[in-house]
Formats: sequence, structure tokens, C-alpha cells
Amino acid sequence: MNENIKNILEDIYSIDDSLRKHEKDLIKIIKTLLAAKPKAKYDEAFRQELRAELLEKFAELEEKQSKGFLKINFKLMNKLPYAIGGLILGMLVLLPFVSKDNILPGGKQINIGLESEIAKLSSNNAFGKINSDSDASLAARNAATEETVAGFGGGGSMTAYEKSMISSVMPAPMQYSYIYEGEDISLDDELLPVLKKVKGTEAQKSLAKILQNADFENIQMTSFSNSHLRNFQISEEEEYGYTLYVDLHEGMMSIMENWEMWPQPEVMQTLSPNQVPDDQTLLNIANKFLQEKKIDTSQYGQPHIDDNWRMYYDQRLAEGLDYYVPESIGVIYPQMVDGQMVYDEWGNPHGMNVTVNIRYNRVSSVHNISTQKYQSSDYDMETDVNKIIKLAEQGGSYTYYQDENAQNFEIKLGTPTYSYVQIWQHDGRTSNQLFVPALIFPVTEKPDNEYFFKENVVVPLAKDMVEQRLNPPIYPEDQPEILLK
Amino acid sequence: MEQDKELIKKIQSGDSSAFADLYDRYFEKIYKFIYYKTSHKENAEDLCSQTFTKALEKISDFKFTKTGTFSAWLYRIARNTVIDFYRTSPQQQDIDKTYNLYQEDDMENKISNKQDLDNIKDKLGLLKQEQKEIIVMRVWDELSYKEISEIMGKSEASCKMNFSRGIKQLKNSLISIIIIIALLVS
Repeated sequence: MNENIKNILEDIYSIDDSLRKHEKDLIKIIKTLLAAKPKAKYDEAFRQELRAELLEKFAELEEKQSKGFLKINFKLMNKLPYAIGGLILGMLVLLPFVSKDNILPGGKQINIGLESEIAKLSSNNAFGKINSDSDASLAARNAATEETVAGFGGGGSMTAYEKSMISSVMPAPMQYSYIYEGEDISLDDELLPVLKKVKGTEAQKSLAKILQNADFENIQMTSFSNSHLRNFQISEEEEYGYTLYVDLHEGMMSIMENWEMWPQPEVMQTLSPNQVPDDQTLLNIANKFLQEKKIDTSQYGQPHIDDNWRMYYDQRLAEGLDYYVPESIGVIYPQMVDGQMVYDEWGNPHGMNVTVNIRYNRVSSVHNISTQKYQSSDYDMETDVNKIIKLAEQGGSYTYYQDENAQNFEIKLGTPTYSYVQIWQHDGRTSNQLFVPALIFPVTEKPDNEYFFKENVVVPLAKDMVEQRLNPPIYPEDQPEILLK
Repeated sequence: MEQDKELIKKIQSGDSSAFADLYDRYFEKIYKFIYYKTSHKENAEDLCSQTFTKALEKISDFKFTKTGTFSAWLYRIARNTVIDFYRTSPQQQDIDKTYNLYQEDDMENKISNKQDLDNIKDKLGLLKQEQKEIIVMRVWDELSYKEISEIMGKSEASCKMNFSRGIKQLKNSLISIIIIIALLVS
């Protein structure tokens, strides 16, 4: 019996083992099927001819691409005319000083990486040990995130410094117990890709060269070698004008109101909640602005309104305290990476944030317009469900802080979904943005009368992070001030 | 798969010889895959040419994901090209019947008369289209279930189940098949 037939039989038995007793019959069937296989012999001349045609077409496509300066710029203009409009404006200003040959050396395209692209690295663990900046700083403080400590922390024991701060100004601490009530889960993937955002762009060098060829009076621009344009800013000098900031190195862009050009009444009336437009109106304002600026939202999920202020407002009102309605309301467009939504470590969707100024019903800023170029490398993932649940029941972070005087509140968690968590990792000189596979546990039940904002508990699946969070390094409790430095 | 990744990386940075290597790796497999669905040399050549042209045009956008392989991507283009061919060419037989349409001169020598051919046609005709397609991909194209599942856009478990059920169904019609076998070995 040949190997192929053996394999096919094993496949069949893995589905229905009772068929083993009919092995002889099955072999006959498979052999019959194999015998009926048509003789699909190709014509070698055709193969060669098609090969040659394809290679010719390949060359044509390459040529189009290399000549495609105008075309590709036009494409980018559709994506973000604001940014590229700024570049072109800059070039026009500089043109009188710049030789035509230097507009874009080598006829290269300006590719700032707005389109999603993931380059898979062949080696595993290529970004070193995964350790988010928040883990590092939290571990250093031997404390936790914002929830358990007096309603701010997420676990861990308090330092003497924190305890003294709390005892002097804070009421009795609150602590939260997370209880998992979702379905049974299984974790089968021992290896999964972790993504790292790629910094920098080829365009930086070309653009720097253009500027260096300009005449800047006494400064010898060309004396600066291996130059890269890292960022630039352009402002509209007109009523309700905006400022565009482009950080080519970090691959981030933002649009902000140009304060000087927006009205600043001497007396600002406090806003009332009924002046806040309904969610659909806010969404329409944000969408319209993005459409006008042709900012591509295809890499983002369904936008939602950040209405946490309402919770604060209702709570403060119930307690008879003052609270101001915010001047701006955020509309979050959750970032999608490799088809998955991205969360921050505190359980909020991470993405592009558009704020709407509700006094003028205009967009006042757009933050986190990010390039989408990533490297991907496989990392070991935790497959022990108990560890993951344990971490979820710690709020996703360090060991839970226990204080016998604290008021305890129960938070219930539902069945998680798979996603990415965005973390920052410091490599000694710079911080890098990593996207780590994670489980997102939705908060299904929480106390009504407390300032508890968390919608989800995020548990990263990377073994490095799970181990660190379950077994955090312990530092001496009496040295917080030194460690905080 | 690693070799594919390396080649695609080179292609995406403009290396035409990498494309030639990739073509050499896949031409025969894709040609046969299409031929099994058309049983017609000229149509198979035409569709093969369309498949590789589409792949060339789209390869700059191709991205490796944790589940997506280049091989499955290419087969999927080939499969869709064949489906489009049957949709847009009403004079052609329905794709559902294609596996029954082997020309006698295309058959291996083992099946030499029309009655044997008709028997196989009958048996395969009992199966659902999806089952036939999975059986052909597994037995003739020798594709793994992972590849089949990616090409068909179904889960691996569902492909295995379909294959197993199809074979079971054929087994239940075994008497006819045994007759065929007898004829084959005679």
C-alpha cells in the first residue's frame, strides 16, 4: 500500500474509526479513484511561453511603479490630502531654491506607510523579551494599576509612600474582586505572532535632502550628513483653522485646532448636558470631517462615542457635587490589525480619536492617525487556561491587593474574545509599539454606585507577560521615592 | 512554505527571477488542478494563464497571516477563475458535472472502456458537489486538509467530515465499484 493511500485511510479513520473493518473495501475505492485520475499532461511549449509572457508583464508592472511618482502621490492624496498637500506646499515654497533633479531623488515614491502591511520575520522572539513599559514601572513601584488602591489601583501591595498618601487624603480604600463566569475556554496555540510597528519611512531622507538644498541664510544645511526629516507642522491661518502635525519617524499624524484662529469668548458659559448632541449627530460630525479630509478609515472598526463623562456626571450629581460637562466629546475609531481589534492595557479599544467641540459642533482634533507597517515574529503563548483565568481575576495585572479595611466590590467577567493588546516597550533608547495576542474579558456586572470605568479586562497571552504578571519582582517597600525616579 | 515567503518577499521588492521560481514551483500543480475541473486542454491552458496573470497583478498585496498560505491563495485564485469560466460561458457544462466529463483519451490506461467510465461517473454523481471537490483535491491533487480548508473557505474539520462521508457513500455503493475493479485488473 502506498503512502498516499495510507494517509487517506488514516484521515478517514480519524473521523469514523468504525470504517477500519472495511479497510479492504476502502482501499479498493481509493485505488479506483486514483486510477480514474485524468492524465493531465501539460504542453512544455505552453509552459515556457506563459512563463515568458508573465516575466514580460512583471517588468511592465515594475516600470509603471517606478515611473509612478504622480500616480502614487495622487493615491496618497486620496488617503490624506492634508498631509501630502502640506508636503507639496512645502515643495512649492522650496522649488525656487531647489534643482528639479532633487524633487524626489531617484524618482522614488513618497511612501509613508498608511496602508496595512505585515512583514513576517523568519526568527521567533525577534523583539526580545516582551515586557510592557507599564509592567516595568508598576513592578518598580511594587504596586498596581489604577483600580484597587483607594479606587485607583489594580492589584499589588501598596508602598509605604502610597499608604501614607492615601491615609492623609483619601477615604477608606475600595478593592475589586474579579470573578470569571464565562464558558470553558481552551488555548491551543503554542505560538502566535506578536507585531511591532515599523518606525520611519524612506521619504524622510528624500524630504530632508530637498530642505537641505534650500538657502537658509547663514546655516550650511548640506553640512548635516545622513539627514532625515523627522517631523513637520503646518497651520491654517484662517478662522477655525487647523494645525497638522506629521511625525514621519514615529509614523503618527494628528490634526488639532489652531487655537489662535478659533474664537475665544471672554466669558465662557458652562455647558449643560442637554447641549451635548446625540451620539448619531456626533458620529455624523466626525465622519463628515474625516471624509472631507479623505482620511481613510478602512483600517478601523465601527466608531463609538466615549461617554464616560456621563457616568462621572450622574455620580457627582447624585452626590450633590459640581461637575462640568466637557467641552469636547471623543469619537473612537478602533484600530484593526491583521483583522483583529486592538485594545489598550486598560481594556479600552485603541485607535484613532476624533474629538468634537460641542460648543461649536466642529471637530477640534484627530489623534493617532497611524501608519500601518508592522513586523511580525512568533512568540510562545500561554496555553494553561488556569493561569489566564487567574490573571483575569487579578484584573489582568499584578497580584491583587488585599486590605482588611477596604470595601470590596465584585466585578463579573464573561467569556473572552481573541484580540490584540497594544503595549509600549522600552528598548533602552526608544519606545516601541507592540501588538500582543490577548484575551479580552468583558465586564458583565459591576457595582452601580462606584467609579468603575473598566469595560474589559485584558489578559495578554504571551508567556513572558503572563509569567511576569503572575510572579512580579518584589522590591523593598521602604524605598518608593528612589524607585520612582 | 518558508521558501514561498522568501520568494514573495523578493518579488514584492521587484525581483523578477523570484517570480520565475515561484511560477516553476506551482505551474504543474495549478495546471492539473484546473485540468481536473475542465478536462479540456485548451480551456485548462487559458484558465491557467488567467490564474497566474491575476496572481502576478495581486501579489504585491499578498500578506502572510497566521492562517493564510501562498499556496492556498493561488489555488483559490485558480478555483475562482474556473468558477467564473463556467458562470460566464453558458455553452460550457456546469461545473457540478465536470468531474464526470473525462475524455476517454485522457484516462489512465487502466480504465479502458466506456462502461467503466460510466460506472465511476454514476458513483461520483451520487456525491454532493462539495464532497466531490474535496475528494478530488485530496486524492488527485494530494492537497492537505489545511490547504483544502483554506481554498474552500471552510474549517479543516468540516472538510475532513465531507471527505469521510463521501468515501462512506462510495463504499455503500461498493458492489458497483468492485465490478469496476474486476474490470480494471482483468
